[in-house]
Amino acid sequence: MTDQTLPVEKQHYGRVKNYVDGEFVDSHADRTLDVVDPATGRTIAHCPMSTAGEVTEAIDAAQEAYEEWRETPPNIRVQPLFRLKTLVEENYERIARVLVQEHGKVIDEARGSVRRTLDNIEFACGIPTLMMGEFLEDGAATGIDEEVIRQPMGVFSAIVPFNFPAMVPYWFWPHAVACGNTFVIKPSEQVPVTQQLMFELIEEAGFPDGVINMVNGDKEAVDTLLVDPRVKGISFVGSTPVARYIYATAAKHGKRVQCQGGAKNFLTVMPDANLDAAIPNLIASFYGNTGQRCLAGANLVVVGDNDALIERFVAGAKALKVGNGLDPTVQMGPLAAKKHHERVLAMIQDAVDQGGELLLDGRGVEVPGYPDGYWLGPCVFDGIGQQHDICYEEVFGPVASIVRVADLDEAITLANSSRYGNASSIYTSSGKAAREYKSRVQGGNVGINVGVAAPMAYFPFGGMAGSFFGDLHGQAKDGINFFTDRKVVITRWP
Amino acid sequence: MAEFPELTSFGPLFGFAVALEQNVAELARAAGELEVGDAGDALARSAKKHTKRARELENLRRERLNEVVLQPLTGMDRAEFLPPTELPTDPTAALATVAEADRVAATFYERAAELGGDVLMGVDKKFRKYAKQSRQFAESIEP
Repeated sequence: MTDQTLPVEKQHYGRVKNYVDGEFVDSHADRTLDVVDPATGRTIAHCPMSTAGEVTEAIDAAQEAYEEWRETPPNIRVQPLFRLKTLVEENYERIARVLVQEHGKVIDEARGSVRRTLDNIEFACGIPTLMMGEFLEDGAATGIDEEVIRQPMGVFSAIVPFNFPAMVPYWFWPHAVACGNTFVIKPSEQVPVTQQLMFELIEEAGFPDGVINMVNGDKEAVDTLLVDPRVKGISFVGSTPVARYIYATAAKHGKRVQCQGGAKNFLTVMPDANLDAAIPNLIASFYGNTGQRCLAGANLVVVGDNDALIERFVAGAKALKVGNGLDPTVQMGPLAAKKHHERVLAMIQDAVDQGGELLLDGRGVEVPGYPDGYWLGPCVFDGIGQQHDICYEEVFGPVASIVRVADLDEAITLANSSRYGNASSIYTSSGKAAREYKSRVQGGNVGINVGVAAPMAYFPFGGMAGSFFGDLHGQAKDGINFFTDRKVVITRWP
Repeated sequence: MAEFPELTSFGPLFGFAVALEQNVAELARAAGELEVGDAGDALARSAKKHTKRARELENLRRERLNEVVLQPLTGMDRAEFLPPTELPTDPTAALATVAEADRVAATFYERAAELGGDVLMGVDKKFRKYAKQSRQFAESIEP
């Protein structure tokens, strides 16, 4: 700890509440999960596993609010979002500090994700323009006009992951609500505290009761949302096995679904890459958010002999300052949960056992003053190939695997052999190589000399192959299409 | 005294800049209360300018922060950019101290601007402008 370490908002947040029909309510659930600060190992809250009945009450509230909300004009519907934007700006630092405390990311990363939250609110504030339909005079025949109008559909829900507790719900609900739908959010039970704070701001922003609701819980809550016929659509972000389950179950019950799954991202470095620019960017991709993001680098694909790249990458990784993210000078925080920490350590050991050469071993790293944190320093494997599980399995931690290939074609073939397709990047000074990579690589988000190809709020966000199930991605116009039905009207006035 | 963090990434860099601005503003304000003759108005304006720059930097830190280009920063040693924090009571010495503080700020911004647009999220031009303003001001009040 340094004297610059920022204060925590609270030492303990108690038992988190649900937010239903415009009120914070206690869940009566018997089961709870401890929410743990991963830097200290201390419990900071308890998350109730809401019962199916409690989730149904939230859906009831959303359904009841829907009719009046959908009849509220779009320019009025966005007013609480404008107020929320101001409130989030005013509470920017508080939200960021709570994010660090419950997730472990460093303060700049937390601030960045609050920025992304704001971007999505701002986008949704433009719904009166963005939701406009289309009209063509004499579109059907002379004297017969044709138009498309967009309409809300009812209750939507989002089931969101642990890695971005503030931001990910905002890929979905502001768009849905601004389009005239009502909403139920199920935060990750591992990190529910940030959403408590966000819902305090939502309450203050003055949305009508029932328009936006939150239930905490686990599979029981999720299954209730998936099967209730009043829920018209589900947005999900998480692992691929769960994404597949949610996609299949929700679709079986007649819902629209957009499910973002796991990732194993290949970052290819060509011999002509500008290493001065590439190295810090690569480091940020592999180790930002402690590798716990679906856009993180996982495999460093080195084209040709490039010892300078590897030496500089390892040196850059080794130099990262690991610690409590509330210290503004820390560059990498802990892993988010004990179980996850154990899982990542086991995957590293498996890779060692399979013959991977651990050039940089972050196991056993110690952070003074934080003996109980879930620490893992940056790790770099060399000599990884398709025979190693770690080449294809998602680690979701600060582990880079160097895979050496002969040329660009082999690099693309390797990346495309993954069952995932979330993101991929190339570092090169050749426009031709970049163009070929962009065209051929399997990835919903492609970076050219950019290691974290994260779409801004006004671009769609989603992967390919086993990284995405559905058709319309999150954010932007895809979000508007997902949360509205399009109705064609053909009109003749004789 | 304001906190001057190690310069490890975007946030601390901007945190350092805000602290620097607050520090220089305070020195200028305090110097303006001494018997500095014609320099009094210029010092008051400078204090106001540095306070405004601190606010602007806080907004930039919040609005420009973008995880796509958030990366570790190397090559900036905080020890090279620590401004004077004590103001002598002698007016001539006080003016020299304020000028020195502005020169330190100018050097900080010049060096930081060299880090380039990627690391600074595109605010290198703003830093160069700050550096120029601070250098000009330092020269103008040098006893």
